[in-house]
Amino acid sequence: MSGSRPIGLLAQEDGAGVDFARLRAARRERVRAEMERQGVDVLVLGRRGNAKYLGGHRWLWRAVLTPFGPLCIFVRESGEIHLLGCTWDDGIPAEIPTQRLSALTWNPRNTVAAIRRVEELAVASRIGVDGMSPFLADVLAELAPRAEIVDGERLMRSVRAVKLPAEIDCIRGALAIAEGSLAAVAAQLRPGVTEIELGARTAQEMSRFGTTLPALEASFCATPRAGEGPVPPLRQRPSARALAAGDLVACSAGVLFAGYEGVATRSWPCLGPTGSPSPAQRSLHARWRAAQQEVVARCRPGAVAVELRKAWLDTGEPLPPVLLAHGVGMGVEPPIVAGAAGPEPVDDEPLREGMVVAVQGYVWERGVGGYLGGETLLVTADAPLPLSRVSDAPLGDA
Amino acid sequence: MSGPPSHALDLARMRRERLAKLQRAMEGDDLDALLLLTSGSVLYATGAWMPAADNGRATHQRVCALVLRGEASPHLFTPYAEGAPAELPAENLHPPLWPETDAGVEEMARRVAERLGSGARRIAVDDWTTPMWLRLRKLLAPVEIGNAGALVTSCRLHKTPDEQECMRRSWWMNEAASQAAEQALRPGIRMTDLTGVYLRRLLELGASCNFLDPVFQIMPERIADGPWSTNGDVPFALVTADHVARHGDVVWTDTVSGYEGYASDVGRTWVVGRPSSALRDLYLRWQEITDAVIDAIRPGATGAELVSVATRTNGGKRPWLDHYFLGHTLGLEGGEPQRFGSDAGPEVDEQLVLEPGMAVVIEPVTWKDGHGGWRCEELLFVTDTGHEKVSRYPNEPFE
Repeated sequence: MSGSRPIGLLAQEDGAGVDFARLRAARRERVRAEMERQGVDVLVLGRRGNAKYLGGHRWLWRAVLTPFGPLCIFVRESGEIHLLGCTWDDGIPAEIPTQRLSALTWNPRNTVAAIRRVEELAVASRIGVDGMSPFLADVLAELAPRAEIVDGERLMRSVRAVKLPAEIDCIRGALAIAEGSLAAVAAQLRPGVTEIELGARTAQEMSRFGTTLPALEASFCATPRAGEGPVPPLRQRPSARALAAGDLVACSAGVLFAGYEGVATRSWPCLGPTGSPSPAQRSLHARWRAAQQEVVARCRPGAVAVELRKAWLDTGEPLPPVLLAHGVGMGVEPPIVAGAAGPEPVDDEPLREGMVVAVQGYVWERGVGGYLGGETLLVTADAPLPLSRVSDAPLGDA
Repeated sequence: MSGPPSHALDLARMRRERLAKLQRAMEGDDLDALLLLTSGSVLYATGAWMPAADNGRATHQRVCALVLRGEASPHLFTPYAEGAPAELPAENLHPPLWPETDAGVEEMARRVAERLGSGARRIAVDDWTTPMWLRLRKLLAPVEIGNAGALVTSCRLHKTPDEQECMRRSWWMNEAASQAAEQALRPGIRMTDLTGVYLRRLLELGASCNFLDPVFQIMPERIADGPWSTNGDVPFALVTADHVARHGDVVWTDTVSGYEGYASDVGRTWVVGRPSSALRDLYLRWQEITDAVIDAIRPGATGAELVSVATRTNGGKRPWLDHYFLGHTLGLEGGEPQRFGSDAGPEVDEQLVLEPGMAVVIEPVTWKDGHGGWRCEELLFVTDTGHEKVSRYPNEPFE
């Protein structure tokens, strides 16, 4: 299934050893420099990825989108980081002193008190926020009466887009765990096993690597071999359906490592007694590989979403039902290159050297099924460098 | 443990009844529309499936809802068309919104405005991205934009029979998965391996997703042996790490998973080997407190009463973690709680009046520094005359 190259943590042997204290300092310096450029004095952040980028701390992961609330306040001039909702120093980097932690609270007065401790707010002329609530707006109006509120998410997005070498190592680590987990379960695709069972096994495989945070819940869905329209819908929600010989199964799994996302997306055949895929399945994979390659080849500095979409469409394949491409970092990051399912309008953020992007495609053939595949790449001055290591076997070359 | 719950469940009826509640509340607040962005509110208004994902991913693959006053179906904006409930009319299913940029918010405003029509005056939203905050009011003027949070929470607080059945199933799956993890607990196993066992069993049983990184924490016997904290209380719940269990360890758990979006919130205390006699005493006191609080759960009781019963039974000392609470209500995602015994203060506890249909989780804790402590969570539905206890996890090895 995975050929002879090691994937999973074994593949990391030569690249291990991220100096996280140095990485955190480098990230904060980048944010500080961009704040200075934009004249932003204080950032009040509630988005997990942004808070993680600055704080580098661990918290209890939840799979919910809740209303905005501040988690991390960063002061440009002093470089001080205040973390809210942190009752312990467990998982808090040593360079953040305990007096800058405020406890979890259910009392708005305590939240105000925690924000009030950031004395620089009183003299701030520009505050960046990455989300807002009427409550926070009132608090800032009182504590920072002179301040103009600006888009701190856009600021953070521009800083986070280009990756430091150590960030790329973290993404490689996350990819290794995701790919190692997915490959282990893909080896168990057999007639009779259910889609739900495969997802359940993947969660356990990930935990064996010592990580428990998914970037997204694993998905295994047999692709349709017949259906309405030119391309029948691709399911992403696993069912209790048992796989049958001949199914092509779209698989994806993703984890977070030190906050960075690694997602593996491939399709594997459920093989019958003959034990080998059909020529039609191999040729479908080749079609995906060819179309994918057209988009990958255009992932160079300066490329914008419409060009990547055109590259895919020029192959004659309809847009995939997933994002055609997106930035990768602490989760999904812009640029967002929509597939058939949106969103519109198209993101116009160009690719830059040092960005990491995921490119995904889907092709379908009546009577054969669908092939969903994706790869994560580093944008360089020359051809993009693949970070994914999943083998194309058994449908293509190992 | 007994088998899965098997009350009747009609998901289409559940969605219809939830939407009708939202419509009545909009009528009462004189709102023309709700524009919903948070996952719990969107689930409530539409019943749409969306994959469980990290925030950093879900933000860019948002599922949103627009509920228009007087209309029989909500509008759903989603990248996951397969997640739309069967009864949603095709014309109410739309491509996703992406209010992450100025252009994305202009598109959001255009699509909302064309459905609102010219007579609309007031709408409410449940969250703001920064570009929304900076631009949406101007783009939709003269329509006023208020806050949807309190309205949606008030609807979500009382569960219909179908919602209660989803919660029973969710809790049962979570308990069964927890039991699988407890059976795997032995000297030498890593806590993250318990996570693996738990998640595998949970998903095999058909839970629709996992909401929280499951907590399996080896507890110190003395608070001072744990990390520094702001309040000096028992350090729980910490992020699960690859710590290895040893004979005699006590593990506290906290796991939140979903069935059709409805959360379970199972918390247990497990012992590797035989419990000490001190731990047995702590368990017995926990049971006494828990029984007393459960006895007090009935329509009309307030959060303050439950706080008072628990404290009295514990000899005047509050038997729960200072940074949490004695209990909370529960529903979709675990994200709709009204808490009692929290730092929000006694006025908030007074204001929570139990009514039939509410779901209440209680989580008393007993602790004796130097000997550790006992913590478990129990789920109760408030009924017309009292309560129904939903949680059924046995307190091994004492039962």
